[in-house]
Amino acid sequence: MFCVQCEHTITTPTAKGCSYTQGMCGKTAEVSDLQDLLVYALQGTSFYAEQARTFGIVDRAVDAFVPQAFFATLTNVNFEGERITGYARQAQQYRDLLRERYLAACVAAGKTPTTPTAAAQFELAADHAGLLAQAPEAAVNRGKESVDADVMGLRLLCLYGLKGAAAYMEHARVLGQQDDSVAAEFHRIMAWLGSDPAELAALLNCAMEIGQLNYRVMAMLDRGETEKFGHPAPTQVNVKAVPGKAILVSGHDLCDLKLILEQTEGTGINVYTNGEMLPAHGYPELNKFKHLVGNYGSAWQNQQKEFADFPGAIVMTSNCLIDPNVGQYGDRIFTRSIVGWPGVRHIEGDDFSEVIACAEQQAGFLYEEIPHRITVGFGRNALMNAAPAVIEQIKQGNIRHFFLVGGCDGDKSERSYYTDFTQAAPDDTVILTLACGKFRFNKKPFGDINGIPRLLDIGQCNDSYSAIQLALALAKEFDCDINELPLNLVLSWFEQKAIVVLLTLLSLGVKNIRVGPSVPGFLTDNLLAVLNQEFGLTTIGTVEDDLATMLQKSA
Amino acid sequence: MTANAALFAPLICTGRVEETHDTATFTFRAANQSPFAYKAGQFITFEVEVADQKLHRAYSLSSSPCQPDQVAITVKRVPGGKVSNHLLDHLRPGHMLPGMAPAGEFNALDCPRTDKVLLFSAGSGITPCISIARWLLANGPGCEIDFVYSARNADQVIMAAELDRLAAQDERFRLHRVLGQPAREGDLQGRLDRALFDRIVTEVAGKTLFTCGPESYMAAVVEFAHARGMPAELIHQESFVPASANDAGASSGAQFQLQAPRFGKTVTVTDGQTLLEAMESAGLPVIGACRSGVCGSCKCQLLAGEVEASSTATLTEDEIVAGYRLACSSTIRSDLVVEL
Ligand SMILES: Cc1cc2nc3c(=O)[nH]c(=O)nc-3n(C[C@H](O)[C@H](O)[C@H](O)COP(=O)(O)OP(=O)(O)OC[C@H]3O[C@@H](n4cnc5c(N)ncnc54)[C@H](O)[C@@H]3O)c2cc1C
Ligand code: SF4
Ligand code: SF4
Ligand code: FES
Repeated sequence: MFCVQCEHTITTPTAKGCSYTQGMCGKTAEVSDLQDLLVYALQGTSFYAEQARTFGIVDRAVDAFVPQAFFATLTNVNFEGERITGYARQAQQYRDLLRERYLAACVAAGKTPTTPTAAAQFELAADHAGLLAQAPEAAVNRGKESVDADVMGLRLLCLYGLKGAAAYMEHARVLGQQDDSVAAEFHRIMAWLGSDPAELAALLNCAMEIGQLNYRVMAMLDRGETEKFGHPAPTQVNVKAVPGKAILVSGHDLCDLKLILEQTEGTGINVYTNGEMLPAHGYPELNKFKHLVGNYGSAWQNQQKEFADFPGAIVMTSNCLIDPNVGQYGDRIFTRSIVGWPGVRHIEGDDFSEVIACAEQQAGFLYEEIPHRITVGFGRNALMNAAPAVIEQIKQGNIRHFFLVGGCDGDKSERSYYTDFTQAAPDDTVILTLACGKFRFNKKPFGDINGIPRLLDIGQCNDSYSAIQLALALAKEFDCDINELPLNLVLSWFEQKAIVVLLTLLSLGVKNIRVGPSVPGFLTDNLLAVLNQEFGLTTIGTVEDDLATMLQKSA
Repeated sequence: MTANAALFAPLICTGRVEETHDTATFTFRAANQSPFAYKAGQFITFEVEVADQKLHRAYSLSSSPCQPDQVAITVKRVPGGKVSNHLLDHLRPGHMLPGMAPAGEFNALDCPRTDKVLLFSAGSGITPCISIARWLLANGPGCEIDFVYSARNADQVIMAAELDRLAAQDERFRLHRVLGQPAREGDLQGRLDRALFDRIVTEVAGKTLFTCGPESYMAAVVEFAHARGMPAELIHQESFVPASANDAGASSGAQFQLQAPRFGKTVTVTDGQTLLEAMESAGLPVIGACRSGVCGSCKCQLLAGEVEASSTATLTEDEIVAGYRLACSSTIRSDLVVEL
């Protein structure tokens, strides 16, 4: 196996990447190899999806399938070899169908078919042993002996970035948002990456194209969520338990949460959100359910303790899932969609009665704890509504600076930087936050600036779209470039969604972003130097130094 | 979920009574319905989460051990206080709080005592004193109690009705209210000074003194009692206020290593720091409830190294020999290896 896609990756003085019998996340070498085969197969499918389009042949099922299956290879999503193999075979079936239609169209038009890439010609072996033997051919770092390290680094940046975008495409699709031109662009890039490109400039350009593509995907996702569930509004959420049977819904899929709320209404079962599901409380169509009682726990890396303590059923609608057997709750956690763990029950379709039955069998919470309420729901609309007041406070000199402190959480101790940063930020600064990194500080008191809360929870990682809209609005109001605003971005990354959000920000021209807690293992020193030169991208330093540098801008 | 789940049991708040504008009494029952066993004067250490921080605070039981199915604590607002104010602002009947088993040496059974008892308290210090009074009245046929309570005015008298009820019901209970502004006949005016003390305590022979209140108040009461010749072993006091970090001792500035092998932690600490502070900043799940060497919640074991101990109050001889110390009352003087 070789996998270097997340921040957890094994790092030794000489090498980076998980390449032993298991990844740090618990992914086995076997599953990792199968995932490589899947990605390779998908690159072949995308090749024919792209070619077929030249004749106007578009298959919506394929357009949905490729990003969805790609999503299954994201960190902490699917650990089940059989399902990965199933996706890979499905990918080749789709490829074969498209190839047939494409070749027929070529014949009809008297056109010579484009020479397929190696990925497009690849045939999966018929049996399991054969598949594993093929894995080196499909490895994400295939050809590393002869390929320049910087080229390899950029290929991986693009591949992992596109994977993040694919995840958001799937989230959007579930909400009824699909777009032909977005799918076309996705297939083009996916197919191109399958051709093992070797030119640095082209790869760097591709990374920006992925960022741009993802900007459109995040807009679709934003539209899908707000059209279906209304615009988030500031909402108080209890982060303490109330007595009663309970279901915990984690991951990013709001549709699943809605289904569960509908099916548990009147049963006396309370529903709690976990992790990235927290922003759900801001949506009118979700918070209208009285039995959506609160948020439980924190970020994914604390799952094994928090889920173990949760006295009910747990549903994992998307990433991030980690080994449920450590905390012995494997028998009361359920996976959905592309998520999977060997032996864990997987719910297909829209019927959650198995989950409900499981919750009924658990003790539930016996006691009410002293409620602790936090505020969420500063989505695009809420931010835009607050913009005039915010602008007024800036003009009066009451708000000096904004920080966007967001991204993924993880269990490295260096991540205390983010907590310390928010605690050290001066009282006349406002902190915007999103994604699960917020759990390090979102229960702390921040107070307000003349009614404007100092901590604004924008939502999930993809809601960085809302943050961008606010920044654009402020830049317009102050008639300046985004980079001239008294605003700094301090991001934490863990997996590939964070990578693609970063690419989006870079592609929009946002400069001087700080990322941490460490640099992605797949980026070489050269590449880091390039990113620093072109975009001012740096890693986090010490809280004191970083704050001092950032605040100079607004001095 | 708690720092050490085995130490805590869920207690359910069953009632809340406002005593004064800044003080309320909360009653609790054990979630598993089991009765409470405690000695009058003891306290319970609660775990309270405030702004994502688990904090531990001791509250004396104001109830009587004679009614073991419930306990009561009486909480007074503290300017800037994290836990007390949180409880007063948010704790309602039905809420659960994790609490430790009752503990404390300031109590009617373990403290050497005579039948005639002087209970001197001020402010929230009334809590262990009223518990002692209630218990003695029920269990000490020969007891005689002078209950002296200081407050600024009648509105600030905590459990005023209960005090009046005890005084009216039982002639063994004599109430002396010392108020800045007397409100009724019998109230004594002014601050408790030597003259007032002597007026209340006409005779010290055969009497035991228990006092609880602000530090300066207790210091004065103890001084008057000494001056009147009361033996030290019959004078008992309970402090609610944490020993200030500055008392910990001078620092040479030297740096030491503190190791907690079971938690896989090694941190650098400074000579003169209290062990409790050092362990807390290292993120070790130590509980410092009273921070003044009375409650015993911060007990930990030294496997190597030495500290300067200012209190070992709750520890047995055997424990001390085995290396147990109270972290709050231990000043770091060397490299240390600790276990919780
Ligand atoms: C054995 C024992 C029994 C106790 N019983 C009671 C009780 O029955 N009722 C009750 O209300 N409290 C009682 N306390 C005090 C209680 O445990 C807390 O220390 C107190 O409520 C303050 O905690 P806090 O978190 O609100 O304040 P913190 O946030 O810890 O402190 C805020 C500030 O107040 C100061 N401070 C701390 N405690 C006091 C105090 N008691 N009086 C004045 N200033 C203080 C601190 O030095 C600090 O400057 C008892 C303490 C002990 C050790
Ligand atoms: S996802 Fe991360 S931890 Fe898991 S194998 Fe890949 S790099 Fe390693
Ligand atoms: S923000 Fe990143 S790490 Fe956190 S739950 Fe979402 S995908 Fe996982
Ligand atoms: S904290 Fe109470 S004895 Fe140390």
